[in-house]
Amino acid sequence: MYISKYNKVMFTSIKLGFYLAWKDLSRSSKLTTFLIVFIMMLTFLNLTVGRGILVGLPKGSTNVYDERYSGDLVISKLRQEKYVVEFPRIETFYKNLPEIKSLTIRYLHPTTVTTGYKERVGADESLDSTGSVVVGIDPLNENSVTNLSKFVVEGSYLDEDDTQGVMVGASLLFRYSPLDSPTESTIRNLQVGDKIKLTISGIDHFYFVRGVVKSKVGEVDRRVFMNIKEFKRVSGERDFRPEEISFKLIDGASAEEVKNKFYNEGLHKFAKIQTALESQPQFLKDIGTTFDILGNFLGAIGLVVASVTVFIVIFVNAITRRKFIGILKAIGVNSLAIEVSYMLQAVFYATSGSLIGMLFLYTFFEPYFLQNPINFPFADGILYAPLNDSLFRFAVLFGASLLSGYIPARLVVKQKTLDAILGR
Amino acid sequence: MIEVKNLTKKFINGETELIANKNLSFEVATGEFLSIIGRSGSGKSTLLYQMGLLDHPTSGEILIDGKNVTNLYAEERTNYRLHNLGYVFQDYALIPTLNALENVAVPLIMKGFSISESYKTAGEALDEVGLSKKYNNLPNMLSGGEQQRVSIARALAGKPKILFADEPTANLDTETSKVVLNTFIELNNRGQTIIMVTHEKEFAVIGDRTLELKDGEIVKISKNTH
Repeated sequence: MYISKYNKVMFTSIKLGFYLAWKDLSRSSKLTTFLIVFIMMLTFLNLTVGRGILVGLPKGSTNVYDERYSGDLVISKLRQEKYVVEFPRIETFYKNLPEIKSLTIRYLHPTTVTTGYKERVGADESLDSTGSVVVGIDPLNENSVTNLSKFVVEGSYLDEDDTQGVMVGASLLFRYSPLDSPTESTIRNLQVGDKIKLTISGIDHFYFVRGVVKSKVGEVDRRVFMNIKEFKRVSGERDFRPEEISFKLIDGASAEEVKNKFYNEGLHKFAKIQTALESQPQFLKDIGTTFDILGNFLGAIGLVVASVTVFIVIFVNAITRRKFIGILKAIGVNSLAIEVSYMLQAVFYATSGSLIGMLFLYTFFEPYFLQNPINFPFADGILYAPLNDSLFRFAVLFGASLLSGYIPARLVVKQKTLDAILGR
Repeated sequence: MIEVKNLTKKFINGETELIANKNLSFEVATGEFLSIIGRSGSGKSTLLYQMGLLDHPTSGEILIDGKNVTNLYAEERTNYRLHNLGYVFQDYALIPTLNALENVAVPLIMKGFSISESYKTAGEALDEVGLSKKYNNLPNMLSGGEQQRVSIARALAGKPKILFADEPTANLDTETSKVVLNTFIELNNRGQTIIMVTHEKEFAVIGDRTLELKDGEIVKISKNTH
């Protein structure tokens, strides 16, 4: 009997709380409501955008690595081998895998790139040269996996039948990578159309520079690309076993599962088989981890700031209505109804602000940064804000707003009714 | 019936002690209209607030229909006020975001009525005080007299045992004050117990009796002749 009476009072209080909150929200100043919702929206964006950009930076660099170099899956030579061994077996196997959308085979050979060799006057004058790796590719296949043609910043992409030309990576050129250290140097004077000397296995070969590639991936930007037909001619006898094979998988295919298929076949004994994530250099992973920690740290501070903001906004709102809370108590409205009313108002402000913030986030900020990535030397910085991450932040803001609505309302409700009415 | 026994209220501010009510004892019969008068600072509003369970006495007791309500807990007092007491405040004390009908309906919803039932009863209470056409007006769209009548309707809608009025005409002009006081007289004629604080003797005489306070003490309790 007591419980049923208690439940009835609780139900009535919650109902009245909803009623008062609805009336208050629908009749309070539109400008005030707009301002509070606006502050909540900014609070939500502060929580998601700031962290999203920070975490988006390493994310952008790993995306760049996957999209412009490794593909979804990469096969490379074992540490102790010069090439991918048993390549025919591997080739036969992957040709029958339905998950593979496209692939590119790369043949690598160390080289020295020299330019301005004709202008050198004295034998003691240093050459404008640098060490590099010449990569033999099928331009079409390479483009189908890495979209390399999109990253040609000067000149043009390699033609399939071009045996006279090469493309050079931007990091080999001083104007893109102003390095001048005792161990590493870049070429100072090289333009598209110039002739360069590539020294491969001690023999000099001469090519025209067709284009300069800048992909922001070190493995790409410090290489010289030549047509595979020409590579075969200059690289000597090697049975044409490649160093790298990058695969692009069909949509929805799992790189991990495809990798496992290679493993199940025992092919990992002949080559390193890695998903894009596994093949990333350790420094990229370390940057990602560090930025993630920083992002979470900033996110935690953002959450505290957000909670305090919500609290202050709702507290000021409750305090300015202290007299009316007193009146409600005087005419018999219990604490629960008043607290529910303020909590619902706080939730309304936080939810509206967060939803509008989310709308801005996914219809403006995220597409904007995708179209106009922040230009970092090693990455295209994007805004990384996965929906589940944003929903988590919304949930935290929701919880904070519930508390922020409850605490000030509770503080005012706990005051003596008469003091609240008379403003004492 | 209300019984006030040896009621004392002290306010302490640092080392200063102010006695607002000194050892007051009196009774108010069911259906009676008691006016409380006195100069500003005489303790009349303080007495009303204690009788209306909005404030605690420092010592003494208040009994309503034999029940000692002096030491009820905060939520019990709120609940008691909801079911037994009605208030009319000097400044009307309406909620600005609720219209006339909704202001009157709030305590009814709290009592457990559905919203439509509450609106129906609230409408009847507003009709009684002559505000049939003002249901949807927000307080800022009503005159002072109309706001006070909404306040009276709110106090009466729940059919309280006792109606407390704290200087209900203080902010009203003479004509509007008469309308409000006539409403009280009508209510009292229908058996409503009313305790009204006023500082105007001419208004106090509409009650059955007048209790006069000076410096927190009862100077006299006189019967009024109408």
